[in-house]
Amino acid sequence: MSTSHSASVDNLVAPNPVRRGVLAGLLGAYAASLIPWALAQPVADSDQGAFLAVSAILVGRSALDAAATKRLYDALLANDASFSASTRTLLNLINERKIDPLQLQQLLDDEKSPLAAIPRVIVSAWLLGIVGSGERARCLAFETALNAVMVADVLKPPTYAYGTYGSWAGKPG
Amino acid sequence: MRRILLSVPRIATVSAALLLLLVAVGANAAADMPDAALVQRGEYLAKAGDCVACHTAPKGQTFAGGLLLPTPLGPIVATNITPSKTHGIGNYSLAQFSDALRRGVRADGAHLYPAMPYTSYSKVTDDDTAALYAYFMQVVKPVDTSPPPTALPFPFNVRASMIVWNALFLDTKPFQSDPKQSAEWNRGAYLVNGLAHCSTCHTPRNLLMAEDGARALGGGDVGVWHAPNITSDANSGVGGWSVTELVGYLRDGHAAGKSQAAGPMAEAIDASLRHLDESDLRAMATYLHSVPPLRDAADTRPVFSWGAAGDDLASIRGVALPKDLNEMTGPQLFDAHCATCHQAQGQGSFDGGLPSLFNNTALGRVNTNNLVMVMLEGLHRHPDILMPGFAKDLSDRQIATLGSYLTQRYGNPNAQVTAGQVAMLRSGGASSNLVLLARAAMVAAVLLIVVVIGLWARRRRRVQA
Repeated sequence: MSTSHSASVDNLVAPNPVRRGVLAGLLGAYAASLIPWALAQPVADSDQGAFLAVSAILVGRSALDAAATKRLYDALLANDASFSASTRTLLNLINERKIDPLQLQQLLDDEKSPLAAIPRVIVSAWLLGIVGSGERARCLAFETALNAVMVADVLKPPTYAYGTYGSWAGKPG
Repeated sequence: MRRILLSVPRIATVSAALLLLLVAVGANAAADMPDAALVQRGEYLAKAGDCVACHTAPKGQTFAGGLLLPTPLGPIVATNITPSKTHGIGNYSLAQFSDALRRGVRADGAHLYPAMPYTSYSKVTDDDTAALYAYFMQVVKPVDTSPPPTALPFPFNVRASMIVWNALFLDTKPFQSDPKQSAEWNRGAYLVNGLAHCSTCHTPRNLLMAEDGARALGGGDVGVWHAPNITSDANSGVGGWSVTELVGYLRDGHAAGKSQAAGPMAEAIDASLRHLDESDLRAMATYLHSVPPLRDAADTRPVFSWGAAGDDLASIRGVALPKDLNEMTGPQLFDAHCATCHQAQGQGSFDGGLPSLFNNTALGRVNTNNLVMVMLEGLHRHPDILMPGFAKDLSDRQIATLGSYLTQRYGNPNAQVTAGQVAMLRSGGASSNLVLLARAAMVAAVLLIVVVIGLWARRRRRVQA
């Protein structure tokens, strides 16, 4: 209910010391340095916390919508039962080897890591709103997917009406 | 403002050609005016009266009649009011023209049905009547064709019954200005109650189809459309609108954060109101602000003030559509049919070209007929389509689901749309029992007379015996 493109931050639930502690406990010093704000972000449990932390490191945003976090996490887990364990492993890997987020995918691909698929599905989920592929693909976000949010100052899906009805038929000025 | 559908004119004419009485009563004060100026004023007044709205059929010749005006009694056909000597009002004298316009009596003495708003036009001054006459006789092009005559079912085909109706409901007193009010207010009162005939649609009607003066401008039903309350009440009426907003609405057909004209009102703006001088529109708005307030108890706050931006996207993203599309939820229907223009949160387009759905009287009134009609037919303003209609895309049930969702989400949560209502409006409105009632009443009256005569005869026989 009532999420707006720019209101992701407003949707974060009120801080709760216990739930906030969950995420802080997950992050090592290096991961915490990548997303210092996340230490204050409450999460439901440690599995979701790891997902939130990896998500934040990958998409490079300073806040993520709590409801969207849960929806995407649930969908990713439903698609792949080992998703939460893989995500925790990935978070530990980033922390221990101090991996630059921008080099992460390349590194996993080069090493033929079994974790190589994880950043891709997480980034697709957040940026495109899509989880799964082929007939199992589900679109969980469109207006609030980050690819739309990032350009929301100009483009406002799902609308293509930038003037009155039919104005799109006219030649641009 | 004005007519169409149930209200509507039906001016003089028709078999006017029968009349050869050229009473040629010259003009009075209007005679002082040079012809060109008089005719020009007549043209302006004809626009203010929106004669064209009813007296021109769709794609028909101007003022040649032929538009069918649906009434609960059956269609009334608007007549040819061009100056054709054979098919129009070409042989009308000024006096005859005046009688048709202001008394509802055509040149052959037959009575017009009050679909022609002569009850409002009776307030038109002699001078303005003469100007209108000059315009119709000198400028309007004669068209030598007539539409088929009106054929209402018995007993309504007896036009003489209008004599009784007029005795009850026609106020022949000319417009009286109120010296306690400003010149602007008086001008507004003259236009609103006279030529612009706002009350024809916006005042509810009684059982005999006459305007209910006690609820003047309190909102009426015009066929499938609802002409809303335009009294000065802050919640139900236009008391919360500024004069500037009212003027803008009457001229452009919309006011941001308030409302937009659709259906018959859109036509009234296109053909009539947008042609009026700013000063006249301002006068009308000033007068409307003084009309005694009438409130619908359901309007617990201004009808334009409901709702806020918001969405239910979380309930639809990642959820498959139901196999039976009639089972689609309101948010799904909104997403599929509304959001591309009105946007994800109902906020309208960024430049204000498309209205927001909240702060919009279309969703703030408990009467949702107009909401349904706009979803079915869209919103047309000549020559543009401002919104497409969805009659062919959406079922009755889908429109009911969507309409009720919209009022819950963006409007008055007490307003509902039902599938039965959509089906009724789609088919042209509620059927009327008036004809049946009138006939039943006549049968009852005849039976009563028979019984009385029978009793009287029996008593007489007894007395004789």
